[in-house]
Amino acid sequence: MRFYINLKVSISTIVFLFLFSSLSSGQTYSFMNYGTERNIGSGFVYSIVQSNDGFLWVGTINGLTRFDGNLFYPVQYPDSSAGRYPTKSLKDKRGTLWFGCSDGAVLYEKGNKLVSIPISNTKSISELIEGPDGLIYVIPQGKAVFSINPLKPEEIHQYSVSVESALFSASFTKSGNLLIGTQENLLLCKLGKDSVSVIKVIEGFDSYGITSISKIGDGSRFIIGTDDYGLFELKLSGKDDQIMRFPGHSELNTLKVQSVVEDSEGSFWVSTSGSGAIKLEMTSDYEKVKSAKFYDINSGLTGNDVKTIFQDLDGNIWFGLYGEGISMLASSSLSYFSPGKNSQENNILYIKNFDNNYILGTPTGFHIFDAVTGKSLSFTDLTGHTGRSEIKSFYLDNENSLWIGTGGNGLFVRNNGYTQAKIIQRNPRIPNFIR
Amino acid sequence: MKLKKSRYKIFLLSLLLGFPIFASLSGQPVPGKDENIPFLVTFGKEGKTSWGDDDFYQIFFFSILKDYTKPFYIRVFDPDCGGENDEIQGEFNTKTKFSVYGGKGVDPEKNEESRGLFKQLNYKSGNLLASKVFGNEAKYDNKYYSFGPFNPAEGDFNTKWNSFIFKIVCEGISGDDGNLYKYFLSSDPDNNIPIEGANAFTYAYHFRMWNDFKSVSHIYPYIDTGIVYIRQSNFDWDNDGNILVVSRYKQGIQVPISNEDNWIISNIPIEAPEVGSSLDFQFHKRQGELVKNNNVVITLQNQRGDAVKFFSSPIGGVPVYQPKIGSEKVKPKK
Repeated sequence: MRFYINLKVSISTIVFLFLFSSLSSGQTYSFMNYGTERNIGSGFVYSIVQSNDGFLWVGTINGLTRFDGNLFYPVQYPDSSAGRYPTKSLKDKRGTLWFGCSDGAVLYEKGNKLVSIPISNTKSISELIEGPDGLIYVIPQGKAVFSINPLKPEEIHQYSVSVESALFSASFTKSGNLLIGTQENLLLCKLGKDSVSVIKVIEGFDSYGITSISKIGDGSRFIIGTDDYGLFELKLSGKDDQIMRFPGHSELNTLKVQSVVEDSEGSFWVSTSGSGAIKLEMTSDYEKVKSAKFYDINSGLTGNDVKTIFQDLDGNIWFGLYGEGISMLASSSLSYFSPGKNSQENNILYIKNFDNNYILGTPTGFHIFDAVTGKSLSFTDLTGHTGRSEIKSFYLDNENSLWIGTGGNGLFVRNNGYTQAKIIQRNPRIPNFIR
Repeated sequence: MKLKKSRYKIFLLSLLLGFPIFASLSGQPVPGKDENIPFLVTFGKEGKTSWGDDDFYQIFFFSILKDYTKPFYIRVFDPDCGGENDEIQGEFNTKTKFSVYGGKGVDPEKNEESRGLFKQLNYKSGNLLASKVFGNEAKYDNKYYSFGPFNPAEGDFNTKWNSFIFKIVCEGISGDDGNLYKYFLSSDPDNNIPIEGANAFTYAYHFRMWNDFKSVSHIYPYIDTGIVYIRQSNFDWDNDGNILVVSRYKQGIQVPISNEDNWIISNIPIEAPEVGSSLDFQFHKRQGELVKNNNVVITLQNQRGDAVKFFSSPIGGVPVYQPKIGSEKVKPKK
């Protein structure tokens, strides 16, 4: 929990640092971008997932990193791993993180360390899904499907797959069958004792690479993402399956879809190669798209090639970019400001209402901040009054006197009306470090 | 100062020795500029081998230097089978699948099956990164389609070349028409922007000959250390002219050519000065009656039976015959 709080705190701080620098003219959004300058390892991001303690686990071409909201920390693989990179990640209902890799390896997280699952597979992992039976299903590009008991990860079951085409995506249906997207069609499959058998080929996707299958509701409807042919809605109904486009949104018909995920508000986020990301708001019956909002370079995203999208515990949307690191779009419940002119002035230690504005305390002084305009009305530099000692804490009392604690130079108070600050305590025998 | 100079020399030498053989190349078009080959060709699998394709698939490899870390694209010109350029048999009914592979198992030096010389072996090894099937589609006719973006580090790393290797497989999955196409390895999805130090190679070259008498096509196999002779196999040449092999040592030795729907095999000796450079296989059209739309295949092996690569951009440059000029010291007249 401590880490979770730290993450939130850090994100708030960074948001203050970077908000306005990421805005540009036109319809822009408040993206925060994190690239190689923060030790992400590589700008090519393949997977993002968040552990319950708040860390983001980001899979890049150089491996896994944990992100605390400020910096990325590499995570060691438990075994030799030349050329390995995580392709998929999943958090199961118990909160355990699972990772599928390009060399066929499957790993899970235990105590912030990775543990290898001994599966016999060298094919890149295309999908990790939690089945209705609570097992973790591993879908490699071909030859086999595996199930793992998350309570006993050494319990692995292998299902042979006779499909020749490479498997790209999968999802369970309402009836417990497996919908599998391949490089050239969509298959409804049944899990047998030791094999996956094809019940039928879903008509209408001949020669389409099915890159994503996202369940709508209970699993009788799906949003199908394809490479080059955009999005479809599929209704499974036994005999007459229905495949539909989204009327009035022809711009969704030519997308190179990488992934489709549903957020906590029921909107669907589509990541694409070349067209950025799209937020789809659908009607309550999921029959129509109410709005399709594009997030791309023109709206402030750092690239148009988005590999994956993830919503964190705070509701923020994270974009895993292909070559440009990760970007965060703040949830609608948060707004972000950058009141200062430099990093010291943007390092916010203290926030308190003051008249109709806010006092924002920093290590060198404080802002009077107008949240309506998002601008600092004034910045008072206190370094001359605190003996150049860094300010560690602030407190605004009921009489609007501002108490200022320093790191080694005692406590100051600035009376209402902003008279000269005076030293309350400066005794060399008493510790002057005020927290 | 002397020490500094010697250090500088050592540094330069180590750079030269350690520098990959592709470093000075930018051989992104396939067929390469120097090859002067109009198109690659792959027929639908219901086609006849006598039309010039012995196995209905073609594999090319791309190598990208490790230092290049930006996304790249494999662009396919005229990927559909219909409209302009392609070879119709009755009516266009052919579907062609292009698939791009990266990761372990792609590098043909580490995995011989990946070379694709034997249909029964798994030449589709590696991780499938992208795939698309093209039919007779006007929107792709005579235009480029871009696969990607790809991360260079998703390739199979080859230590010797300090490069990541990718593979593109073109298969005629149905129909019987001939799909004629070209590739370009580009840093841009919409334009052909070469990538410095990259190259392309294959082990079995399926291509279309020119429809005129004057144009000479070339392919450039690289002669690696230890090669004593190479065994060439050419298919379905339809007795269309001559194949000459030129190198810095060979002025032009003739290679027997095949007829309709058959292979012909012959050996070409390699001399010591040719090792570490490329040979120039020149394809001269037969004069007189023009053989049109001639599709051909050629493969090479060394004396051990190992397949020899053809590079789209010749390693060491286009070889030019260097005749030995004898010299004699002339005594001054008294």
